[in-house]
Amino acid sequence: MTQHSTSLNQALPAEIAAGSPRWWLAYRRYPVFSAPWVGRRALLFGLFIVAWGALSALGHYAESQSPAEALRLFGWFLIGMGTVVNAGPVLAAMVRHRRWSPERERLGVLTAMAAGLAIAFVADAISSGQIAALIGQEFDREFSTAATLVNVLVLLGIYLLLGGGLALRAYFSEADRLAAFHRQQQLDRMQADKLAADQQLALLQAQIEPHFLFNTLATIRSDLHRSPQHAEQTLDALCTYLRTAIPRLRDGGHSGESTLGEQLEICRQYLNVMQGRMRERLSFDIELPESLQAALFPPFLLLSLVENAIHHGLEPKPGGGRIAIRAEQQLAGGQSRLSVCVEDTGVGLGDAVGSGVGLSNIRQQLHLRHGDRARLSLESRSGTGVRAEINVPLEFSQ
Amino acid sequence: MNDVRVLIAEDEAAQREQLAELIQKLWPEARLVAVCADGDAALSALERERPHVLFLDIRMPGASGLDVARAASARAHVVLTTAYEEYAIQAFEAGALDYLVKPVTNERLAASIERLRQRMAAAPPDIDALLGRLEARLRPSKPDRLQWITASQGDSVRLLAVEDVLFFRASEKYVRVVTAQEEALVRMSLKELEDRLDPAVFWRIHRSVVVAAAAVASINKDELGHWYAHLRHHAERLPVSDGARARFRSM
Repeated sequence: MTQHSTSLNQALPAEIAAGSPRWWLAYRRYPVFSAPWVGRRALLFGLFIVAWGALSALGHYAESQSPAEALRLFGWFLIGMGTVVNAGPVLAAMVRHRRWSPERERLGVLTAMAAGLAIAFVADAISSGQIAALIGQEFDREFSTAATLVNVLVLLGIYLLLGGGLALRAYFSEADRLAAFHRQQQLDRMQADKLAADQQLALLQAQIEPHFLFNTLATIRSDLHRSPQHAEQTLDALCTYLRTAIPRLRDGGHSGESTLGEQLEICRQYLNVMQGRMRERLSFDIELPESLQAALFPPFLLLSLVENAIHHGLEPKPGGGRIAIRAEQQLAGGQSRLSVCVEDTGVGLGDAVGSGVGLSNIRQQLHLRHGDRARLSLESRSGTGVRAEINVPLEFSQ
Repeated sequence: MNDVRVLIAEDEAAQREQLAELIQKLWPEARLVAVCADGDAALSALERERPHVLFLDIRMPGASGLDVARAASARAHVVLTTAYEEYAIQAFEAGALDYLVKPVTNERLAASIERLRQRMAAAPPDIDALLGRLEARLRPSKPDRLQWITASQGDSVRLLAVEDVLFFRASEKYVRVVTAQEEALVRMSLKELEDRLDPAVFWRIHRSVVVAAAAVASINKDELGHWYAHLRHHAERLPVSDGARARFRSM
């Protein structure tokens, strides 16, 4: 069944083809005993046969000085060798193209190869006889029985070799190789799916990070009695944030397109919630030119930068600080680019070295989408605050 | 009965105020001697006010709740508050370290106060070892591979992604970090850096050089018989020791 899922007229997947990619072995890229396999193989073997036949004919011409005789010798040689080489494979190809069930086909191919051997034996006997007569050489056919048997066996061996006998092995393993290949493909696909699912989950976790959620709820609970208005504001901000962040994920926001406007809106809602919690310790400002609202921008990268600015910049700083997000269009090397900066006035880049996972994820996402055309850079000027920039080609949805 | 001196440390104002209010309501003997907004303030209040009981948020600006708890070990009873890390503390629930999950419910706080009341008679336990174990559980378990390098360039500091680095080359007190586009200095020994890099990707090819093996184009001998590595995307040629040369040859 798997066997039949592959067309006989198409090359096999490179991973399982028996042949090397060199042109003269190109026939091996096709399923064994398929029409293209037999055809390409006949061409390759034909080259050798023609060359060999032409040499013998030339030799005979030099001796006999008779062009007609040389031509006849050449013709008989082609017929004999051509049949030896092709009889079995052609018959086997006829069997395979019937597309029988695997068991029946194997039996058919074996029978075809046996018949091919018989035909090769007869054809070679006839052409050899004719050629022997032409060059006036008498074969002494008076062998002992044992010698005849050995002779026939050797001939059969040669016919089998020339007639594609070795290909039988590749033929019998082809189904297994195909099945293994399909299994591997399926496995790869599943792994890719899993990776995508993992990333979605990681995103979901980042959006609705338990710390963030429970701390926000704790703040709302604390404010309920003492400052109901404040509790209401924070709760509203949380709801709006969740509403903007959650559907993105469900529609596959990770792989789909999102605009800069949408992404900055999620950041704004997040910052609103954080402001409800940090109060006067946090202020922020978002600057987005109208013309860039609809620019394409990968989802959730900016939010990661904003979260970083809060967690590693402002939260550890007793007095808090300010976050500014600015988007602008730039022209670099004749290309329009989009630069979005997240700048904070927090404690700055502390450690000499870092193993932050968040930043690596952003880099990875940018690389997946834009290859080398996107950039993430982070710098900290003389220890006060961090300026993070994502720079991507400016693109709009069609 | 003597007053119980209580310290609260919580960075979010609303939660801080409410916790203070609730404790006073549920525990009449309690006297709030310090209500702090960050860990550093809590540390100094610990010395100044000598509290009997501390309610500490684990995540705080400045010193963390765990840092303050360590300072208070064997001197005061500690209750940790957390939005999420309870999975790590649960293991110690029955022990010397109590915890509250945010949002804090009145019932849970009352239960915690009840336990504290019973414990007040005994000396505060030594929780150093417990905190050590807790900290180990809270630390992310992934290997601490270097992914970013904070490098100075003039008066600013920038992050370089380790995967962009072509080579690290030691020169006196600094190590030069070089990518295809830029270079910067880090004040760290080459050995320290090397220990946190993926040894399959970055090879030590000389006592002063660690190189991204994939960036090496060829190894050549110069007129004096010294071996040098030439890179794909950088003009600088790097010295190669004999031992390292063998490693390239084996590829």
